[in-house]
Amino acid sequence: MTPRWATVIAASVLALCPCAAQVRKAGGSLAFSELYYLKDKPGYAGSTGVLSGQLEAEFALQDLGRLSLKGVAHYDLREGKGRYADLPVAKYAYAQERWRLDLGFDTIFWGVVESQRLVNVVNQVDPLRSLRGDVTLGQPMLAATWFGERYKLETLVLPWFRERRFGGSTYRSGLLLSVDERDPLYQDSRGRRHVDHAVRLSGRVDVLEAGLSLFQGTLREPRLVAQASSKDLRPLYVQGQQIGLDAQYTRGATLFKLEAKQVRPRNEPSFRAAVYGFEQALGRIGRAPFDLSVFIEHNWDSRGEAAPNFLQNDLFMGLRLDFANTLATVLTLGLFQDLDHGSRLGRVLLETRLTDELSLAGELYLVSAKKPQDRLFGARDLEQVSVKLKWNF
Amino acid sequence: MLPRSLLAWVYACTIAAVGLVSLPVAASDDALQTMKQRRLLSSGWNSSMSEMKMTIVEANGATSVRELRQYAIELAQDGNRTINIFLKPKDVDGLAVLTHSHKRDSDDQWLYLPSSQRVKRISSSNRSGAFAGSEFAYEDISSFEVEKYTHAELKKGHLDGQPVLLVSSTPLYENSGYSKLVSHLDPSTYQPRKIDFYNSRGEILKTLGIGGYTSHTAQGAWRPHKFEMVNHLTGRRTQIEYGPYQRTSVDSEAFNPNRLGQIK
Repeated sequence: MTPRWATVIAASVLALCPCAAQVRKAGGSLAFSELYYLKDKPGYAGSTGVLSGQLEAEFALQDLGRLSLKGVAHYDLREGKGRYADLPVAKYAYAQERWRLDLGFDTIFWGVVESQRLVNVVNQVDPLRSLRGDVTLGQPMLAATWFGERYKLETLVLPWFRERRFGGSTYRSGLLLSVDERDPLYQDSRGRRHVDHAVRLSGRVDVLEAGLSLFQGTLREPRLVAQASSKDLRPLYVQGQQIGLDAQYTRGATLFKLEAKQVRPRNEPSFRAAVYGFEQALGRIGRAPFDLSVFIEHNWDSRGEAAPNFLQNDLFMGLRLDFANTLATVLTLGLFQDLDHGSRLGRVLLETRLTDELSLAGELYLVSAKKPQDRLFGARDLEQVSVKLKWNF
Repeated sequence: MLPRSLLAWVYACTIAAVGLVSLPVAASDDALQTMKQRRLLSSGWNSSMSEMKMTIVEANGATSVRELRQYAIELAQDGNRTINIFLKPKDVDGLAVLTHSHKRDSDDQWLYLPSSQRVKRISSSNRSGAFAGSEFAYEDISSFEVEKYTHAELKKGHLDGQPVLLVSSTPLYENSGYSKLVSHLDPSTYQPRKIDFYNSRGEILKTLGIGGYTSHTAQGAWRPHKFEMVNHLTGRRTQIEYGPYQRTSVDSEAFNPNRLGQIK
């Protein structure tokens, strides 16, 4: 559900597009993916197919700014909960030499690490489209950005809250959590109409790049609370502040990275979390037909086992193999190792072009967890392999 | 990056050739000074935009095509800055690479990923890596800076029956895939018609053919429009054809990584 004014903005962007003076960009993609679960789970389908599409366009309004539009749709062939659409971008932008204004739905990226999006607080994550938390929902906003020579100051007013989707316990492509997302709880009486604010100052000094961000409003990550009348959990969105820091120090082929945050929920204990590590570009080793990059990051959360994700004390190790061919073939291997329980989450992703318009991706998730108290224990049922064929136009 | 890099070779080699006119074999110091002067006289195109089509030809004849838009700006006190924006294939539409070349220090590079609107600073140390799966290495498309090479061994020769001037240049930067480059210059315009790239074993690894020159100012400012890089080890070729160069009002601020993704 979106507010009336947000619908008006999105509709205005859509309506103005055909009137725009110049189409700067237009295109999209259509994809079909088939997903197989590696373990049988009684009562659940062992596989599912998804049709997904994306349309993107950009229009220049002479000296009056620019309209951008990106819409995505997701159609699960077998389960109704997997059918939805979203507008990651539907905005009007006006820029002058030193500043820019953006109004509408937009997607913001803050941060430097690869294993999770720790300080990226503006957009709600969408776990139904990506288990990795790297896909987000469009956020309605008014953003003003000031550009200095070596720094950038972003100020955002976020007048409408996007709730996280869970999919429910019956939807296997969700997180298999018994969450009733239809009627979430809000700590603030204004609910999803609470106006949030965010500011970020970022800049660079030589090879050091850093950003300091402040957020005040409805925290994106809900707490799941039990209900007396139902076995389903209800999401509770609390108010709070977040201070985030992200930094990258580039030394030759080594990229040192850090993200840290302190979160102060209202009427609840504050907590801290951090990710730090490095990325090493090794280039081509011997006669290998690929360039190799290595990623190592440690994820830490002061809440320990109470953290809502599994990254309370986990080491992430990744390899990326970029094959030097015209098909842009990339093989990515990632492994999360829980340093407390010894559980592991592994991911293999192979992406390649088939032709200039067609691309193919194969993805495998494997989970190894033996202790029921481990956060990954419940994820064993999500072990899966998927194949995706995509047509870009 | 490509035209400027190769144009810089034109400048560099022309300067070296100018030295050849007065000295049969120029000392490297003289060649260096001459190149700096020639580059200074050749500057003035400032900010430009062009579109290019890159055709990669496999050893078996199969081809694949990339299209890019390229913005470049020349800075007086530092190396040049360029933004390469991919247009095709469509799966990389909007992907942009920003490069700040420096005269002595390592280049700085940033990547803009349109799917997540992420700007990521990346390592520029992989200079010998292939650019977009082509036969051009990153160091081939990086901005040419006089100080990054030693230049010597000027002599006369012939190419396709035409007289040429030969210039040998050795990279001074780390992680180069080449032991030396030998440029074949047109003696009337001092533009390179061919460059041979040698590996560490002294073998010719690749050969770049250059043509389609046009002059953009009364002082010269020659720019080539056609390139063909042949890899002698793999049999693969990459052809690049540039459309018209346009002078733009895009200023150096547009090449700030803070703004990467805004210029289309």
